[in-house]
Amino acid sequence: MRTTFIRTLEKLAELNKNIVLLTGDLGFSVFEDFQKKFPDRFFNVGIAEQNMAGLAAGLALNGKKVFIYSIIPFVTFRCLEQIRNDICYPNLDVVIVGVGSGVSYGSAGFSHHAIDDVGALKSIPNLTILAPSDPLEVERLVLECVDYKHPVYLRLGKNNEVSINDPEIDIKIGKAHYVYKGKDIALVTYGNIIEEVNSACKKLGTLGRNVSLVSVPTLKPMDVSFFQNLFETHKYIFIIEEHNKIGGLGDSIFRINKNNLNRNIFEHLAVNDQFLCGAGNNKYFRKELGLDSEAIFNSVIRVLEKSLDS
Amino acid sequence: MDHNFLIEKAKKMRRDIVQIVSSTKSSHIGSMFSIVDILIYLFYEKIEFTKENCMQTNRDKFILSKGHASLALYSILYDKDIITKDDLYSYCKDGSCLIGHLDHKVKGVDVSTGSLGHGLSISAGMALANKMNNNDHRVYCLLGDGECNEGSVWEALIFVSNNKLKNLVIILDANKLQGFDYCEKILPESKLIDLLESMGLNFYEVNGHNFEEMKLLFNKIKDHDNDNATIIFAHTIKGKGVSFMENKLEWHYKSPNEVELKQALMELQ
Repeated sequence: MRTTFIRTLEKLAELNKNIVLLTGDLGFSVFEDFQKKFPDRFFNVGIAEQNMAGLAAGLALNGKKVFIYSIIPFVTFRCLEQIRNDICYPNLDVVIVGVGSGVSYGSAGFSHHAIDDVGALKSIPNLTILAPSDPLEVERLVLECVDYKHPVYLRLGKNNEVSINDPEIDIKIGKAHYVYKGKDIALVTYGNIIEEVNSACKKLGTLGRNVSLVSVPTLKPMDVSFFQNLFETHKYIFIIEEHNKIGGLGDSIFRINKNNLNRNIFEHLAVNDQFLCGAGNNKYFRKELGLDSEAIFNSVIRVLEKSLDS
Repeated sequence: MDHNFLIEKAKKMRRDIVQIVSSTKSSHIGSMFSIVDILIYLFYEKIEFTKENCMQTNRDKFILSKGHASLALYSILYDKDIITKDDLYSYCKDGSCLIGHLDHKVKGVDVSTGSLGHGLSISAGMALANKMNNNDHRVYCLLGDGECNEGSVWEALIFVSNNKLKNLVIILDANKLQGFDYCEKILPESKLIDLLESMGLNFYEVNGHNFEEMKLLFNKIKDHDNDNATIIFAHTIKGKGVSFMENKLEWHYKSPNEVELKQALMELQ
């Protein structure tokens, strides 16, 4: 995803001379080409995220289109107040790009995990939160960002993700979409954990269960009409997120559906309000958390069986 | 401009401030009084800032990083006819845009501040954009000495120095007092000056209540083709202008009662 991000930004920077990229000393083997092509519009501001966010605000106030980049906890938590006061309160044209969603940096340990960032940022007014599920969504959303003119948090995975969306699909800020459409059962997710959800869906397909896979690349604002339609057309809704149960997509969906008029059956698979201790890659942690494809598959089967029994 | 004119302006501004702070029972009068003379000097001698150009982006900018002294800047806006007397006197009242800290929603204010340690990074971003755009607009940023406790100030100074933002002028209001103590006890002034001098910026000291000294210094900066940003360490007095407020910690918080207001107004005639 980060490679797709920078390649897309490079193309845009050719056309839009106002684009400036600031990095908090990260991007080794990713940003070199951008730096070579646009030496006057690339700044390694050092390991100083508070300053980076403030600089972005000042640049935006004087007409620049600014992207700031670091690993998620550093570019969000470390400079949360600068994001709130300096970027979001004046509603400035700044894109905050964080890399390492969920447990993408699993072995690096809890300091590098991003399972609480969406919750922390969601309550800041004016901030749009984008969490693309695959490189295709990254490309489309970065293109959308250029003319968006509002603060955006772009939550990226890491590298080597495979696109699962159909290239024909229409991806816009503010919209959720079906990666594919099945019947009665929908699995709803965002971020690179979609690879696990997709595998679970495929396995369910082999059992004759044609389920819908929904990607929600915009977590804020929520695509309310999409979800209202989803509640009408799907009885079983599984929300899978590589994030704390509190503050993530589940909360937003439940708020839209507070009266549950369609009597949907929900299952929310997420991190259970905990820090993740110890080392392990993302595969390991997803298994530990019950968020790998097998656990997702089993959860769907369990819910369906329970529902049929009752 | 005639210094008596500036002195009279400063007195009038302090009279406005003391009346408003007294009527709204709000805080930070000491922090406002320490910067009144600096603001008067900047806005009447240095910065081209008028009712006509205040909404344009293409001009010199002034960022008040110590946003709790907002009323001092709001008073300048009133004096420049950018906001009305009613606006000014609505400060801190229910429903007013003029909040206790600085808000960009007030006409003529470029940046909202209030949490300390933010203004310098924003100013540096503006100065960097000016540099990239090859224009000669300056950015003036006013910090407090207590504010220099914030780590983000030092992150910003490293960037400013390393990127040689010579279009940036940082003014440090050294009024020697912060929220709960003398600055000396938290970050001694000699240490602060050593640290600032070591940043590689053009460093000057000035009496922030003396228009003649400020004029000499700013002319020097103007004439000198600086290779980097400038930092002016302005020695000031918290509560300057009213004897019983000067150098008193409690006037960071207190608002004058009727008797105190009367005396303050008398001293500010």
